[in-house]
Amino acid sequence: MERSEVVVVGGGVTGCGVARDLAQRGVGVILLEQGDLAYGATGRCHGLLHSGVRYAVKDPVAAKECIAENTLLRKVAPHCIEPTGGLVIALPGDDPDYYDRLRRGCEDTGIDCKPLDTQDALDLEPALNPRITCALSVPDASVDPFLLSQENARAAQRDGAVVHTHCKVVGFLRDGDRITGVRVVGDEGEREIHAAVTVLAAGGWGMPLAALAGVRVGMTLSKGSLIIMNRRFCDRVINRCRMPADADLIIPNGPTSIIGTTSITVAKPDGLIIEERELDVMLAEGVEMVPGFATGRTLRAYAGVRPLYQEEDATGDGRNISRGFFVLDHDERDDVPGLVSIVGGKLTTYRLMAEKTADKVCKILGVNQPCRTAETPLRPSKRTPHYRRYERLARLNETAPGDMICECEMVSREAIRAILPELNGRADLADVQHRTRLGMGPCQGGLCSYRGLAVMQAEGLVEAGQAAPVLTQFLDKRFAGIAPVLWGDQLREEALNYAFYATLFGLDREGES
Amino acid sequence: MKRKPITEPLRPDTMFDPCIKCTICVTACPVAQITDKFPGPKQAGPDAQRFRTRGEPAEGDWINLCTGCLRCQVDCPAEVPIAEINLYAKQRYAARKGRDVATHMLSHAHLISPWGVRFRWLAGLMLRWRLSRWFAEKLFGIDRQAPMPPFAKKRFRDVARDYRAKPAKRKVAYFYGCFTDCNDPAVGHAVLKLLEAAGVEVMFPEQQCCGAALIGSGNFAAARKQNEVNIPALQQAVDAGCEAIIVGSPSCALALSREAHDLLELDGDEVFNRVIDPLGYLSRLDEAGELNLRFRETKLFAAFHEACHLAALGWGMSAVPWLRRIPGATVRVLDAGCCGLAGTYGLKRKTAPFARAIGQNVADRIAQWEPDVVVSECEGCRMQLTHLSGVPAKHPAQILADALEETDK
Amino acid sequence: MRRVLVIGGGIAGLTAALSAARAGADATLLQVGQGAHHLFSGCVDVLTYPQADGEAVAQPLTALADLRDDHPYAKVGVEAVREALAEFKQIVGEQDLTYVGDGENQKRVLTAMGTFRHTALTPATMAIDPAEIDVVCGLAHFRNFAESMIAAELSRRIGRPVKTLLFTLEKGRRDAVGISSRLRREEEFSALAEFLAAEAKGATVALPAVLPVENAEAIKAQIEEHFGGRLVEVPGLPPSLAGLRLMKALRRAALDASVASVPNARAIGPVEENGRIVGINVQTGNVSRELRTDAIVLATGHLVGGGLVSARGRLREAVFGLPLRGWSRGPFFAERFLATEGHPVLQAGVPVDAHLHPVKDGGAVCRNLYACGDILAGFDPYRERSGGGVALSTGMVAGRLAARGES
Repeated sequence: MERSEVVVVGGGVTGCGVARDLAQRGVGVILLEQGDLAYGATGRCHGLLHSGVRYAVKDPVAAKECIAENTLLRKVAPHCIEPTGGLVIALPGDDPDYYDRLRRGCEDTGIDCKPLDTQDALDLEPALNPRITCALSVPDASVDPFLLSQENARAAQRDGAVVHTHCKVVGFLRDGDRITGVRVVGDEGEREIHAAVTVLAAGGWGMPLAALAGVRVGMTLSKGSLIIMNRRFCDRVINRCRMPADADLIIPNGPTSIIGTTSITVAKPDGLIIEERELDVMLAEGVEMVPGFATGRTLRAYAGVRPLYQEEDATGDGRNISRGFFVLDHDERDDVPGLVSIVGGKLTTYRLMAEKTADKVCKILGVNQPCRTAETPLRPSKRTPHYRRYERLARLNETAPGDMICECEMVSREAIRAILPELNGRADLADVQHRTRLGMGPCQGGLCSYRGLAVMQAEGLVEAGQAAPVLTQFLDKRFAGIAPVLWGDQLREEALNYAFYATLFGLDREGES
Repeated sequence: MKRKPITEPLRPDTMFDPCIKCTICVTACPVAQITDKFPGPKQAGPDAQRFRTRGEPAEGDWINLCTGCLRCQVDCPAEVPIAEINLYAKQRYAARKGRDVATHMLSHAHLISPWGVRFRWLAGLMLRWRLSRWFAEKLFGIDRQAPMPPFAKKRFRDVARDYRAKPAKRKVAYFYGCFTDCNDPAVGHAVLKLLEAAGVEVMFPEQQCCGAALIGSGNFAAARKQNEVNIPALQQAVDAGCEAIIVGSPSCALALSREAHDLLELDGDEVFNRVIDPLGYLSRLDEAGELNLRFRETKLFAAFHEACHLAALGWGMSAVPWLRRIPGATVRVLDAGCCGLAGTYGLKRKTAPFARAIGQNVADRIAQWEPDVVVSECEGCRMQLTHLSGVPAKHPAQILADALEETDK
Repeated sequence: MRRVLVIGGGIAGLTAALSAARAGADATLLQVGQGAHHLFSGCVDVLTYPQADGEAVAQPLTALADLRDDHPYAKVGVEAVREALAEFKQIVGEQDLTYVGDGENQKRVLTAMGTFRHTALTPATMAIDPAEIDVVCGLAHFRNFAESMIAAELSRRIGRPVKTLLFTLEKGRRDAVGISSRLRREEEFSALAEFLAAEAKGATVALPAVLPVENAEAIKAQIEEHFGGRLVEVPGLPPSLAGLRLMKALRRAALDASVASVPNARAIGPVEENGRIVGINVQTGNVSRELRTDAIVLATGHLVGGGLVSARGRLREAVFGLPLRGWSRGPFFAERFLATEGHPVLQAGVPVDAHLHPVKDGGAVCRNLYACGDILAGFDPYRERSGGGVALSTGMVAGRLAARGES
């Protein structure tokens, strides 16, 4: 029977941040995640470290929060962030008024916003539509949500936290009205985890989980789809100078560009489907800003759910810490002690959300420790892959050709071996992918999934008879994201990959005999 | 050495999308076969390019192990311009770290060679004397074992200057190149003889070094300067009625037709589309029924070597069917890969050992077949293959010109 | 002499050009890049799964009779397939590359996943049935071969223990291309032979398919003599050295037969005069020219080969824009990546008549245009495992027909 002071349900960046903060304050934490870390909205967002410019006009409080955390995170987690900078650009036909309101908004909220000559902007970003009518430089940045979540979890573990991935909460333990822990299902079957406080940091799943715990947390689930392009068209985040709408944001993410996003209400956070009309609008808007999108290679598309907290404060106080996110003490709010929810918010403010949540939890536990996550840098672990593009490239020759497992993303055998212990004996190539970027490049696992499997197998992670299922599972997972945008170069790639795995290896028949 | 700021051309950023990671380029790369110090064309080219951001150091000295043979690009089924991506990377590296002395010297050979002709006996001595070669290696980085060409008694430029063409219906311009000019004018004479036998009027436009070696080391600015003279001069020849620009050396042809357009960004479509090798031109006339060339019986086993740059031109091997017309001649295509010399690559101390290892495959096949002569349009290949195998090497025009019977034309 | 221009340098194109040359034509082979043979096993697959929901066939040539009329095999007939296989073996045999099998009975080959694949012809270096393998020997730092996984899977399948060995090459290049190149040298393959003599004397040893491109059989024989056992190559991910050997043998045969090889030249469209195709517009980089010819054989492959190109919701034949059959607007691929029923788009191709002329509205597009290989409609080479047989048989027939013209 497992027991801890706190159980955090949800291994997105918020949950990981909460675990990190609590562990740093000396509180015992068990972090639970139903998939791999960043499975939910964290791993399906745009990867933007907001400067706040997108809120400068309509939500100044959120904007201030963003720029404060943006500045802070660059100091605290620099290895998870690429300080790309951002541009806000307008095209002919965009509301000229908005430009002025935006500049004023930035001034009022402390966002460093500099106008640029359009020619200078085009020199900086030649891939932009030459017809841009204005350009503003803002301190947007690109963040890697997987790495950020993992680094928070690793820091938490260094301070004594325990992390269980692939572990789904299926019920709550009660002592009367008090929540005393959770019942989970994982690789070892069903078991109980006891805790004095259970924190729900589960994004969209917070709603059904709360219901399971007997409380009502209202949310609107807003699906957003995004398309990943094979290459990096612009080195800076590109915002459209208009009221935030569909597909007006292009973000460089490692060697790729991500265009998004849309906003469609859905009922559940699972089973998301990307619709043709979403692709239409993203490609059309993308081409407006970056004409090269028309012939660029589409790599993948994915969808995530923004869990927007919708409920008014019905009974009790349910203090609003901020307009963007809410820490719900279910004891005060619903007379269910031992349960806290953190809802709403965005990736950029995760640390602040975690701070407020940890403050609440510590208050409940009677722990008198201040938050220090704003001052203590997240130390990169030995496991941290070199994320900066040129770092991997600069190290290219340190790895012999035969030891480069994923050539597209430059992942060496050594880099994979370093993170395998985190898999806790699970032979799961997607877990390897999340930690190293294996399989995230143009071949989408075509060549490297076999090699990755071989490395896992050599470390004893793959049982006899399991090799084919492990590989097939990963390839199917990759394919789910490729299929919506499968045409052109990527179609050629997948035909080739299919030839390897079906025709050559017979995996469509699970091995002929 | 003054470091210039890097102005990144956009084109390399856009060129790697079609790469389907098939690794065919790696099988084509002669360097990948013989050393682990070069990541291979796929990794050095499209894979790395996807990771390069402007302004960041993006390659190591391994980039200079690429020979520029273009085989990766020729063999790529997705037409990724792998070698071009590598060349831009070489250029960036040179902008950061400079170029070594050997590269400078050898890519400016067109400035040195005329002195070699003028002081032929001394130049010949220095190139064959072990002590002077040892010095050259220590001082300049020029490999002491690498093959070196002879110097001509009389420059082909002088022949060209004195040449009086017989007016004819068909007119061509002949761009003979530095090597024919200063080192091996026999090739020029052979080409001229064939064109005359074909009843074609030959003119010699003003010409300078095509800059192939400069392009190969990423020195586009210097190469552009050369071709800002060449292209207009060739255009003038075209305007004067030349229907083809005969170029005897594949590397020159590549520089004048494709690299001038792609890399040096010069205008000259009428010139680019008229560049052709001598035997390709003769094939054209032959197909039109205008030729009556006959060859005398010559017992000869010729092993044809397809120069890497010849493959890159996309013209095929026009020489081979012509050689097969010589009664008594046996012609086989070596098809054994790159000779390794790669212009200046095989002459530099740093890379000459790789060059020799690369060329071993071809040398082995030559040893196995025991031909009488090795045939290649490329002077570098001829030099290297003779050096490695001991078998004499000739330009196909020379073999054909030697076997040519007087015709009625 | 009748001029035949073959577009595409894969197995189908090489075979078509060779056949045309042997039938007396002046054959030219035009290609962009190398063909897909570099990527696959080096075996010749004739047919394994005629039906998606059926079992593997044990007699490929016999099973051809049950195929639909629009299948390429039905167009050329079983006898042509039999002949094409025999001719292939003879041609590559003359280039010192031995192939085993004849298409009557299926053979089995161990793969780097530890699965078995069925095929009609194997190179001699892969001719030993997996059930006879005692030892799986990997090469240290060679990433495309998981020797202990393969041994475990093999052992599970054949019901007896299989030993795993790991040979460490001296520091140097240790990817497929590098190892294959190194093993040409005596000191390198002798070291391997010594190792096997010490660890696997007299055994049947499976190795990754990285023997040299040239003289693989001779070197294999020398190693076998030294350790007293037998070697069998195991195909895996590309680059495929066995595929490379196959290509080089066909190519050398083609060059010796006076086929004119024109690499790095893309066919971008026909040159037409009086309603006839009289040539092809060819482009290399910024330079273009015309190639005149009497007959054309289209052997440009499918999606992988580049014969078909796609955009969102669109599929097109790349050179002539020929009408396609077998796919219409809809998803290109099935929902699951490794779908047993195959993928819709891979069924698509250029429909042809009994003389391999591409057809449009029931009639041949052109009397001097032929098509062969993966580009043909009516089959799925990946799902069926039929690519090699279709390439050889339709290539041979197309080359001959093109050389003879309309009879």
